[in-house]
Amino acid sequence: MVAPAPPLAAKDLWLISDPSQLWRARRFAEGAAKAFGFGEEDCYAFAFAANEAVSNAVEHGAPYDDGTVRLRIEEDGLELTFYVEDRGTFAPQVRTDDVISDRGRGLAFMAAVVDELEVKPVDEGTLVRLTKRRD
Amino acid sequence: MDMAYLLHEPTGDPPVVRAEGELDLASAPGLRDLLARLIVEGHRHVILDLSGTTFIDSTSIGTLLAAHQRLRRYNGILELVCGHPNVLRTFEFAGLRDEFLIRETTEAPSHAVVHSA
Repeated sequence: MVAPAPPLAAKDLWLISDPSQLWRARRFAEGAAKAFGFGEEDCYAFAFAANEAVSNAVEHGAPYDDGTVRLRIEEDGLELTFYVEDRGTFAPQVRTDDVISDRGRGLAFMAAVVDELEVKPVDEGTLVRLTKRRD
Repeated sequence: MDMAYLLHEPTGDPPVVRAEGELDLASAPGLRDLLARLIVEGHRHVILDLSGTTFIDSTSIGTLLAAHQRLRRYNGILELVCGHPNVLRTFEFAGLRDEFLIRETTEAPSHAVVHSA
């Protein structure tokens, strides 16, 4: 007998694209991570990674016409996934000097604390996906 | 305006800068300017008290790293005081736990005057 797929739950947050609003993105991610059952360390890691992704969208991306970037969190029982989408085109920057760019550092950080990191162009923008699994 | 952090005006010699709350893209310019000002004023030993800081992002760590490297060129030092495990953890997964002089404390500092919010 095959068990039915667990229900998928999703939450959305349209966030004004401004650095002063980033704390809301962290609360959103942290709340979902807690509800998902992550321990304190994983909750922090998830919120940290989400903050980096949204910071990138706010600082280097472009908002939707209403001034927002779009956040979504989905869970399927086994893993928690955070998405942020903006209307900018993402071009990974290669720096020629010896100072790692803020954006480069943010990406490296994100990759270090989640299980999957995906940055992909979508119709008219950029979608970043972060997935963290239960241990 | 929403504010998730508080940067206190530096006090003492060597100057101690206290940062409270959550350090992110919103607080990074103020932190950068404050540290740059102290270095320009001639300070070579600067203490950043993060014992009231509960979150730090990669941009803020980059800001600290830049000030740290600048001070080191003058044989100076940026000393950090950390209390929150999440902040220490962030330095660890950045691979920078040993790059900075980090003093761990759980004591609540009593100095500094609120300057701005």
